Amino acid sequence: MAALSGRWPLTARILTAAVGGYALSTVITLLLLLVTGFEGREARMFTSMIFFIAYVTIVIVAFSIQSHKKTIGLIAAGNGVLWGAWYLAGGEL
Amino acid sequence: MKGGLRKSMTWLHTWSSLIVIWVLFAVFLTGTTAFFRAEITHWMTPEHHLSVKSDTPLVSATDYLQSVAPFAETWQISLPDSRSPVLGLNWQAEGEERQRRRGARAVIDPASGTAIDDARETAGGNFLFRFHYELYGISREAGRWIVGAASMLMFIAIISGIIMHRKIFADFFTFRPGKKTASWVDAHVVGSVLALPFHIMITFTGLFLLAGTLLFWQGGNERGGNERGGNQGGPQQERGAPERAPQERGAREGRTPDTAQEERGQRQRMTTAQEGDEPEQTRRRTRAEDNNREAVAIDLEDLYQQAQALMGQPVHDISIEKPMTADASITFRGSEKSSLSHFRGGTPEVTFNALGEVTEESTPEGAEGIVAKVYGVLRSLHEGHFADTLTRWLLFFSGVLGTVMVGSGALLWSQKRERQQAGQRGYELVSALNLAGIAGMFVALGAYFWANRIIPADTEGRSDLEIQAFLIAWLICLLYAVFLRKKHGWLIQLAVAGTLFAFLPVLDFVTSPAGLLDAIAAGDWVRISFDIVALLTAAGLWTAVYYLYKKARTPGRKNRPDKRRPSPRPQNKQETAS
Amino acid sequence: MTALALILIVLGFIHFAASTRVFYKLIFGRGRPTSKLRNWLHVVGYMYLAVALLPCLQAWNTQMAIVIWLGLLHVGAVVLTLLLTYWPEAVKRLWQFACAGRLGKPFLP
Repeated sequence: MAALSGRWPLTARILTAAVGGYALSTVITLLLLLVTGFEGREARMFTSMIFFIAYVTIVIVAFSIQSHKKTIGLIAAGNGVLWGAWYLAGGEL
Repeated sequence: MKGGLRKSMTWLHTWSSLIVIWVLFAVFLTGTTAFFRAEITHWMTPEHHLSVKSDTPLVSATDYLQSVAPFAETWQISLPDSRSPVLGLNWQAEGEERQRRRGARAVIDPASGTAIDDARETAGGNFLFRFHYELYGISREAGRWIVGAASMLMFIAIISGIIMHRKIFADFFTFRPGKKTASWVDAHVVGSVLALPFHIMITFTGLFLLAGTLLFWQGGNERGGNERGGNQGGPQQERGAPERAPQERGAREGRTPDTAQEERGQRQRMTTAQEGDEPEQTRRRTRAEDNNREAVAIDLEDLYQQAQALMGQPVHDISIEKPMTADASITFRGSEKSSLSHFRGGTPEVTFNALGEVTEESTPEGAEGIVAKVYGVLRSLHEGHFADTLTRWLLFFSGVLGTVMVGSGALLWSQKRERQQAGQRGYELVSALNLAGIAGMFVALGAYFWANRIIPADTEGRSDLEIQAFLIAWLICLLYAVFLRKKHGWLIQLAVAGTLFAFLPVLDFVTSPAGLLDAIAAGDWVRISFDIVALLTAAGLWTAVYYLYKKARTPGRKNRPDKRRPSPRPQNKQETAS
Repeated sequence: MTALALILIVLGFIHFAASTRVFYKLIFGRGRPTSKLRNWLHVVGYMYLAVALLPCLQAWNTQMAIVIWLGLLHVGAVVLTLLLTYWPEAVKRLWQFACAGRLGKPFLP
């Protein structure tokens, strides 16, 4: 696959998936917590379960998109929008 | 486009798993054994092998407790069960500070009622258990991060593996032995696809059990992460088996029955001397005097039968508050969980007072709320706390398949690249690590069990020595793999591992105070099963050696192991399970 | 109960195996599975697997029964794989004498 050849694009994509994916799943989980209103113990259990499902999905998606720029753009935009939403909803950054 | 997706998933599958595959193999292998950690601890404490099943363990227990701690605040009795044949007793002397988590403790033989207090010090199955989620010799945190990251990559590998394999049913049952790469592909597919639900479950739950570490932003500790995150892995109380995990050692040091007896003496002296003027002590004194005047006889055996009938299941442990007095309260706890959604507790309980009346009865409902339920069920599945013997074997069997999956995956990588890349640095690195990580792991495990029997029972710090034997054996394998792997590396290491495992039963019966016939007579199936599994492992390893040897003699072909361990082991598991 | 469940599961999996190209030959001789046959075999196979849950439910409470059933599915699949590899005649026999898939005459070749 073209997008995965070459050292730099590959490194960039792995970083995007790993770090960007981690951040994105974090914010998704946080937003879901906000929506569902779970608290305390329940919130912790919920986070533990949802986070990893989100993370694995994002990583898979990040590697299944052909275009290299599109992947990075998508993850970055996703992070931007969702963290923005989280901030607006009153969450701490 | 379709091809693109499959290609990228294949890439992801290969590399996400390869970079941590040896960690995964170690985790899977030790984790699989951890399903039987109480049983392994039993095997590794040969002093316990002498204990014999008894129809009236309760009588032995109470007799013993009465002789050593008649005035205790509480007595706790864990009855022998299918995992450990010894009676575990705890008692808390009167007025003893509560914060001491467990008071004095003894392990006694249910039949003779005598204490087994010279049992060797060993981490037993707990070492393997702890190793599987925090490794060893590095900080807990670091270990958990490594295992957590490896599990995450494993999870990615599983999902991408499913996507790249669209036609899962097509080669569902195919196994073609003796065909080099094809056999490896088959072994890998059989190991992974046939137990896919288990793999997904175990990886996913493994991840969220480590969530306390991996999701640091969750603020684990302050929000009770300690209770879940920090503590979750600590060896949960082994049923009946003696706690011998290193960190528990301090707590029980010097608390043998003798000291307890002495304490009792002191206490009595104290009461007669009439010293102490704090209200607390006065109260204690009065009670002790009461005790001296009349001990209330309680027919425990009768209550035990009643409790069993009420709960509809065998009693697992009994705790008695203020034993032998009129205000005694006796709680019987069942052995079966009423619902999987409890990961701890969740067993029914019945409490009686001294007159034999039921004062409290509880059959816990499942956890509240859907989140807690799902979490509880998944977590119980991973930890197998609910499991009876059959389920434990089923989990173990699936774990073996997982080990096969990881091992065959690792070998598949180098098998596929052997022609083009032999001699290249990356390929050689992977080959060396494969050898040390797979065959070496078996050698290390074998060495661990051997060390258990060879190191004299009264050696200072022997439980650490056992662990060192494990690590040193592994290190030797690693060095051998790095420098000498071309010289029959697989053949030699597998043969060593095979030999170690093959003679484990022999070693067992020679070094244990109870021989083979005694074990059969006593019905010590835990121990016999351990020996059988050791033999089967040895058989698997020797099959691999045989194939390697044959291949090495066939000219013109480089030897690669035809690791046929998968086939003999599953067969057995099934037999034993049914 | 466990043994019964396991047997049912193995029989169920035989239907799935029969619907793959490789083992179709073992059971039907020559040819390839048609999609009609495949669907039929899958339906029957799933039914066997579902029925295997019943003995488990009989012996354990619902939750445990499901766990044990899932575990037995893994064991059954491996057992069948080994049978197909090392003792295919036995599978053929089982197909002839114990598999309801044979009753779907219109779908069979």
